[in-house]
Amino acid sequence: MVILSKLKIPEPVIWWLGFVPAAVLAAIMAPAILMPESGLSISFANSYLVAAVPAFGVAIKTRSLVWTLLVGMAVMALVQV
Amino acid sequence: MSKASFFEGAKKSVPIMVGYMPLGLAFGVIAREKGLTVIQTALMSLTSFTGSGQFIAVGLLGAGVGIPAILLTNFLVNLRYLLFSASMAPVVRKLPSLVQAVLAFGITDETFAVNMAEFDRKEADRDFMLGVNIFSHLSWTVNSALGAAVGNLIPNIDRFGVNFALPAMFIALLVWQVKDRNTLWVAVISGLVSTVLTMFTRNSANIIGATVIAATIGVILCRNRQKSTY
Repeated sequence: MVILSKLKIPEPVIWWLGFVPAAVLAAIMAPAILMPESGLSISFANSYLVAAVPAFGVAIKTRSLVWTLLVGMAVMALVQV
Repeated sequence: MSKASFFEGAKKSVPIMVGYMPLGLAFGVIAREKGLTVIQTALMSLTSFTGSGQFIAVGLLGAGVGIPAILLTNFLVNLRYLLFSASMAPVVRKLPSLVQAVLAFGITDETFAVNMAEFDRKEADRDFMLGVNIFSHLSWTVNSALGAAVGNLIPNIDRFGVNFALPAMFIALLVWQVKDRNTLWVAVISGLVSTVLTMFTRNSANIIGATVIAATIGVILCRNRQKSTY
């Protein structure tokens, strides 16, 4: 990072780097939710997916990290009982 | 040193600290099983700060694999951080090299996400980033040590929904990141590609692969949109 920050970077590369955070977040999150164990699981048995749906709703509606966390964790806790 | 920004960063790291609790405890328990002492476990978490890398390292150590092979595996598993720091580099450009090096050391999937959400296309605040990184690192180290020391006595805290802290944080940060249609497409493509890749790989190659493909498609989308306005 120390070396990279000193280079002069052309514009398309800046755009490219600008997309990296969103791409990284999606790349980490999607498999964590869609396949928490080894295989793909799109069903009510997948507690991560069940908790993710309201979490997304709250995140879009409130834009609040705290509420997203609380609702997501609460649903997860309920589903896992 | 601005105390206010440092503690603002610390505050933003709370979801990470909660999320690292079950991970750190689990790592501590496994490290202990594989023959590390409590001190060794804590030192490993303090000096390397890589969740997946450390799980792999203790697994390989336990299996009697040599140090060079462990280093190589870790290099590959953590290759994505080259990409992360490249994307963070423009934001920290004005900070001194030593500070940049310290901040680079604290990059994880989670601290990267929180810091980039704060300084998207702006100059970074050193103290905020230090706050995020140090408190996250503290949680990781303390919980690793705790897991190694008394891990078997701690009941499974997952039933409080703690295992969803990090996914929930990533959901909120992703929703913040998606500010226009191009970014939405990039996120959807990246998620899909990453999921498909995960079916075939067992390391973190899916993150690099999906990010590179999706960000490239994003640039192409930008280009096309620019052309169509002329």
